[in-house]
This record gives sequence, C-alpha cells and structure tokens, in this order.
Amino acid sequence: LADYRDHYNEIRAAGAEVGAISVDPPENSEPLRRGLRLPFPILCDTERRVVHEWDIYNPRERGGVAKPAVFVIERDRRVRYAAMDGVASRAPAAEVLRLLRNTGESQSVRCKVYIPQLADWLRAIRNSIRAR
Amino acid sequence: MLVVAQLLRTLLFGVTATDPATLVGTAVFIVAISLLACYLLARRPDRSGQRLAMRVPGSARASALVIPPVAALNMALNWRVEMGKTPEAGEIAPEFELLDSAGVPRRLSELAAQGPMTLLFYRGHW
Repeated sequence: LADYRDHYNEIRAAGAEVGAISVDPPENSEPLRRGLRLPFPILCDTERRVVHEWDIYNPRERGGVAKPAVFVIERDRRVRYAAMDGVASRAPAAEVLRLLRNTGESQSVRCKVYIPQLADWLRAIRNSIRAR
Repeated sequence: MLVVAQLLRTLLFGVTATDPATLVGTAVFIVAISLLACYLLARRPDRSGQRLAMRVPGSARASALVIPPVAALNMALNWRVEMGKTPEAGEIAPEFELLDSAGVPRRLSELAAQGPMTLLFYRGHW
C-alpha cells in the first residue's frame, strides 16, 4: 500500500485512481489509512462477498482474508490488467504505472513462478501460528 | 500428483487438471465407494452364520448408502457456487458496492467512472 501511496501522484497524473480492498472492518482500516497517510479510500469487504465472487479469498489465514492482487479496471468495468500472486507480494506500482502510461493492450499476469525466500517461509510459519 | 495432473491436462477437455471441485469430489467419491464395500462385507454372514455388526435399523442402512454420494455431490456443487471467478484481462469485472473505511458506499462502476481504477486487494491487519 505504501508503494502505491508513494506513486499516487504519478498514477493520478496518468489519469487513474487508486483504491484498496480488504476484509477488515472500518475500525481497523481507518487507523491504517491514517497511519500510512493513504490518499485513497479503503473498501471494507467484511462479509467477504467480493473476495468470494472474485475468487481471491484465502481461507487459510486468520479466518479468511483477501489474497494480494492488483486490478486495473477501465471505465466500462473492463479489466485491463490483472495480477494475482497467491502468496506474498503484489505487483509493484511502477509496473501499473508503466501500463497506465503506454495505454497498451490488456494483459494478465497469473501464477508467476514464485520462489519463496527465507522471509516468506518465516511469514508462512508465523501466519500458521497466528491462524489458530 | 501434480506431475500426473500436468500429464492429464493434455487429455482433459472442459475440466482443468487441478480443478478443486474435481479433486475433492473424486476423493469423496472414493471414500464413499470404500464405505460401501465395508458395508457389503459387514452384511455377509461369516462362517458361523452370524452377521457381523449388523444390528442396524433399515433406515440407518439406507442413509449409509444414500448420504455419502449426496454429500459428495453437494460438496462439489457448493464449491462451484462459492468460488467465484477472478476476472481476467479483457473481461468485465463484476459490479460491487462496499462501504469504505469512512462509511461511504462505493460502487465499482462509480470508482472507475473518472478513469482507470487501480484496485488493490490486500490481506489486512493482523
């Protein structure tokens, strides 16, 4: 999120908007938004309706959360860009920015070959402990 | 198993090789078959002419036969219904309306009305 905050002005300059979604209730999202000083809204999918419908729901973590994913949605709700990585990272803002600038054709990045690093293993272990 | 799945992929049409509904459905189906086999074995009288473990009322026997396949089917169908589909590039994203953290209702079509909307899904606070 912070990555997108830092590129927010550039994304705006490219004519686009930004919004975030999680399954957190507003009581968690609003402090996060203030804490990180995010200039864009955070939507609260507390009923997990949208993450189910979009099939980016990860039931294994903490009672079910959204998987990290980035979409660029056009005016007519057509998806121009979809990046989903099952585990940890998210498509960097720079990549989205490049896409927005050269208004290229649509593309889908899915299931990139993902090689877990040490930090990812530790995070996975920590997550599985906290899931209980 | 996943290697076999890759091999099978070339042979399958309409089903993806790693389709969760198919995987789970098949597992449940196999379990149901083995339960049925146990049931049939238990029914057979042993040498002394006594039936093994068969003091079960008819209704329970009937449900032992009916429930596993029905449950398997139900599970497979539920899985299909609950799992939505991730919109891919070029497709139309499903509309939604959610409250933002300030309590303002936001619709996807309105958010994207001004220009391309970059939507970030994140895991959230923990």
